[in-house]
Amino acid sequence: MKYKRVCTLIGKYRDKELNAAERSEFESHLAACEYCRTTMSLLNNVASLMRAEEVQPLDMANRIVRQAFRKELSWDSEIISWLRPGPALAALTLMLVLFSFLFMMLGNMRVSTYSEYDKLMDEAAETSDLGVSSPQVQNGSELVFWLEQEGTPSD
Amino acid sequence: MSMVDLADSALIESTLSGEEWAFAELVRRYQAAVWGTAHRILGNSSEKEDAVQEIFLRAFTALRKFDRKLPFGPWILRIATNYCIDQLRRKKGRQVQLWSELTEYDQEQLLKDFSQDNDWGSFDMETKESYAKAAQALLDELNPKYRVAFVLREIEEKAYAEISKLLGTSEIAARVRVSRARFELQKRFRAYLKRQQRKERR
Repeated sequence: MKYKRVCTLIGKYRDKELNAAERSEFESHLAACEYCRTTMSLLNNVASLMRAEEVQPLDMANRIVRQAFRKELSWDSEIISWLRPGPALAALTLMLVLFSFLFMMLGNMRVSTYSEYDKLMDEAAETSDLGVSSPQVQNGSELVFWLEQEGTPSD
Repeated sequence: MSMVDLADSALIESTLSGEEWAFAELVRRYQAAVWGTAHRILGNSSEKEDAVQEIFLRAFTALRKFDRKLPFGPWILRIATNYCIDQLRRKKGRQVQLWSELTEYDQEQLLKDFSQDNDWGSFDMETKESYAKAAQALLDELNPKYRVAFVLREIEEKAYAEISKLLGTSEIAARVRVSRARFELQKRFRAYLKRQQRKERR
């Protein structure tokens, strides 16, 4: 193989992708070629220095754990945690109680509306006892109209 | 049984049950490896501690999805590699010592020292660290995509198939990037060798 062609095998040699014959040829070439030899040394030195570099002595575990578990209490994590069976059941019960309460409240409001109407009807009946004609009305708007008529002083 | 004897999967199980000590032990086991990956990819950057913290927080968030039948180490290192590549793309934290900032004399001296086989184990810690910084500065001169490929292949010794997955490229593209990184380093060397030969002729 030509000299320059062997130089290009350096990548495959480093990747251990040469067959036995090619490897042997490249190793003989290394002994003679200063350029390939120094390139190999450079790559070896850079790689081994970076690989063997001492790691930082600082223990980051406590700091990371504090952050991680604090992060877990963020709103999105809270929502996810609510999707677990236990909390989900509790949330469902709470919602049922809340909706029942709201339903009852709305029911009471409807009763009080009817009470107002009844009260008005009673007042109208009392007025009728005082000699005023009783209202012959079918609904609320007719009653209001009748009250306006009755409330108007006669000439 | 002490904490040290517990398997990673047991620590993960306890972490998921809300045991802080278990996650602390996992961090202690892998923080050096994660830091190493961050250092190699991000270079002489001052943002490494923040990167290590963010990598573990990402792992913590994704822990429920982790298949406990698989080893934890490669998983966290994959998160680390992806995070660092992402940081490089965003060009964050690139406060690095550049090769070009070194004096010409220092560059020559370092290249001369790198051109011969050295037993770095016999060097004292301080000297070794300064050489490691210089090696990192040399790598920092490379285009980030070539540097990451070089780090994954030459330093982390990953297979091309894995590198291509991490880089999101084809295996051929990964090979080209590694080869290109080697070539760029050789180019610097070639210039140095030519200068040396010229000096010798005089």
